[in-house]
Amino acid sequence: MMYRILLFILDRLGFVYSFMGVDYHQVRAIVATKLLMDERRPMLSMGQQSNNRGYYYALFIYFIFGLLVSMLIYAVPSVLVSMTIIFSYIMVMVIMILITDFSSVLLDTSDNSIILPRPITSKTLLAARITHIVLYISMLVLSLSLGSLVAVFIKFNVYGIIAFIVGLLLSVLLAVTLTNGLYLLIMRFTTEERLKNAINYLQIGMTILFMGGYQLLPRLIGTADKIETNITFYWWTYLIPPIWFSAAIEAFQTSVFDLQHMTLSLLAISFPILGVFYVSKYLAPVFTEKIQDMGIESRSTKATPETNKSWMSAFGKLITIPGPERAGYMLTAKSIGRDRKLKLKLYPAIGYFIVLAVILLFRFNDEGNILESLRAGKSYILLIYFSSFILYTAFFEISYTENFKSSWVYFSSPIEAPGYILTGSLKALLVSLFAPIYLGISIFSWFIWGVEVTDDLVFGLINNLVIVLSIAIINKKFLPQSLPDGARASASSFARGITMMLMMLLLGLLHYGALQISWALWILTPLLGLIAYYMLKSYRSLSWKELQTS
Amino acid sequence: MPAIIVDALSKSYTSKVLNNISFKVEPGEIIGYIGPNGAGKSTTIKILTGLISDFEGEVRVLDYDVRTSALEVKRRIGYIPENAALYDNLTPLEYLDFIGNLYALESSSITKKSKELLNVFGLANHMEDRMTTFSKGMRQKVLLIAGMLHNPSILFLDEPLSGLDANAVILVKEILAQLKQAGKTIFYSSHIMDVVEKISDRIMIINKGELIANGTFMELNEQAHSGSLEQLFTELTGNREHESAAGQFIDILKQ
Repeated sequence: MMYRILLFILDRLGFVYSFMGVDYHQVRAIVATKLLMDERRPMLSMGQQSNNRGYYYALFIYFIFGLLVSMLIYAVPSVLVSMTIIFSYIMVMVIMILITDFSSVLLDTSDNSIILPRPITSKTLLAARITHIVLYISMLVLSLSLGSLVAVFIKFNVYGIIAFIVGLLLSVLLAVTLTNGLYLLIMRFTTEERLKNAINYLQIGMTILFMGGYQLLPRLIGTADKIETNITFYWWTYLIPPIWFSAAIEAFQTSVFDLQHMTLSLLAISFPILGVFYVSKYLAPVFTEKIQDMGIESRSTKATPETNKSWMSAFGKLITIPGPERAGYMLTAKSIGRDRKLKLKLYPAIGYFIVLAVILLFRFNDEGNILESLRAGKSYILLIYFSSFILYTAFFEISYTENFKSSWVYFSSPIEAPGYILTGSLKALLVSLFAPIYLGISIFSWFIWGVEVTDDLVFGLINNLVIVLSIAIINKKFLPQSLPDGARASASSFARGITMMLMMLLLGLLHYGALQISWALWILTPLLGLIAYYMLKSYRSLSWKELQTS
Repeated sequence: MPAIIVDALSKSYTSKVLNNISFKVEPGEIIGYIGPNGAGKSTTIKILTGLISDFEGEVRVLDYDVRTSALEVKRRIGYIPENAALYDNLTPLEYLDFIGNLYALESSSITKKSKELLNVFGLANHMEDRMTTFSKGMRQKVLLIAGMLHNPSILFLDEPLSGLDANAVILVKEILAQLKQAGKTIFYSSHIMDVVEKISDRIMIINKGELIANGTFMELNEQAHSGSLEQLFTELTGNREHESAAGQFIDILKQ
């Protein structure tokens, strides 16, 4: 839909292209196709895998966040402070979105094989590419800043409004330049594979940022009155780009033209312009060249050999039985470390857990010594049981992969009891993903509450095992990496969620109750351990008939 | 004792896919199984390898009934499906270790064998690279090794040559010939007629679920006097539409 409007506007400007000696007909065809593809591309920053409406959904979310941030214009008296926050939001978002979602467009080599062989001049192709990028970024910036624009129009005078719009354009220019520079930096020093990894981690960071943002931003707005009324200037303040733009806007809005404001305004104007010059003159040629090589280069550059002697494989040999169980362990353990899409689903869950933990732990402690009040409470119980969420998400996700077709090997090999593959896979999950997190929780708990909580941690670990095993046993069972990525049965995930919640609540309460009686854990720990053992045994003896295949 | 006995095999989904097929394969034979798309080639192979147990008729592989002793059959055969996918986040060594474990082979012998086999296939330098960067030919080599790691006595291959470059085709051909020397039985389906013509001991042609030809290339050729397997194939499967379709294509372009 949206792209039709954009094309309509573009059509009015067609004469400009013809004037510059560019074939507008071709530009339109290319831009229209690319905009259409943008709409259909799942937005990775939103943690989406396949959703046709991803693009508008993402724009809407950016708009909502922008709206929340723009509330600061009303709430914070200092223009400098509110503008700095708004510009930080816009610039960080533009950079991150460009890297996570637009990278596939920028690094796309298919133009070389699809468009270049057709009768088209390189000038026209360049014009089409630039037009597409400009349109994409404009849409993005508009959705990010719409809320602030409205607020600025209401609150500011004419000079302020003009300064804001100019500042917005310049800041976006700077953000784009920085992104470009960042790409080149990464590409200069690493291989394509590493670049993809770097993008992957940024995508993960982005997802966590959003998840955390949902939780933290409203709270932040609530405490807006506590935000410093002004920014104290240090020498490094001059190094923060958002401050340049906000200082320039403050200067025009409040008519303060002192040395400090003028210096910052000068930086705001000169850096984007210098950046554009530098990128177009020196970096862009290198960039295009690099991209041209990319497709070819991918195999000849030797990937770093994978070491088989990792502690995980060694540990796996200790805790699995040779045969299908070890195969399941190996496959899951390796893919947790390597499969980018899987990482994109698992790591945000961990990040979200950390955000949630921070909010839960420090919620009751508005005043007084935070450490003291933490020590007095028993919130390690919360930490222990909330960590099940990670296990729950991960346990669900390891069945899904883009590569699900490869699961034919399970069916063509002589496996009597597929349950062994499942237990192997579960063990890998516990060792490679859950163990480090639980260790982190343990260290944190020891630090805050002392070593006395060790028995609680042991009991909690066993309970987490019981929780994940009950989810595994009660619900539908799938082989690891055997289901197509997109197809998720929402009904079964609801049942799974309920099982999880109930078990978590039940065992959490049991644990909390046991705290009241000094010897309770000494009885409950072996008991639950025994239950976990028998559950594992029953899970292992699963037959082919009880297994769901895609 | 024949390696494979198929007697009056029928299979239907919504329509009939295989209709009353019978044949025997002796140990050490290379069988080329050809037919147009949708003729039932893959279904036949899936039944023979114990992946589909819901069919009519009698099928025995290595004297095991595939319906009742599918596991015994799977243990003794190798199977490489059409467009076979593999977990390409793994390295060849890791993937072969994974497969070896599924067959419950001994771990140290898997590694040793895998290394040697990869070496033979010219993948020694890529043993510890992830397969995401592998070409189709390299993947097919890994799949071939994975299918034979447990030293099966029969090898089933569904379109083993599709998507391979010329060198890889020659290599696979050579391997099949060597395997025959070693006394293995090979049953494969293919589209590439001149390869089938050259390396098969016996050719079976299936069309619309029925076995319409079964014999050596010489025998089949005598029946049809057509010169090449391609012509023979067109003749037997009764597909004469190619020429008129090609003609139409040109006509439309001229408009």
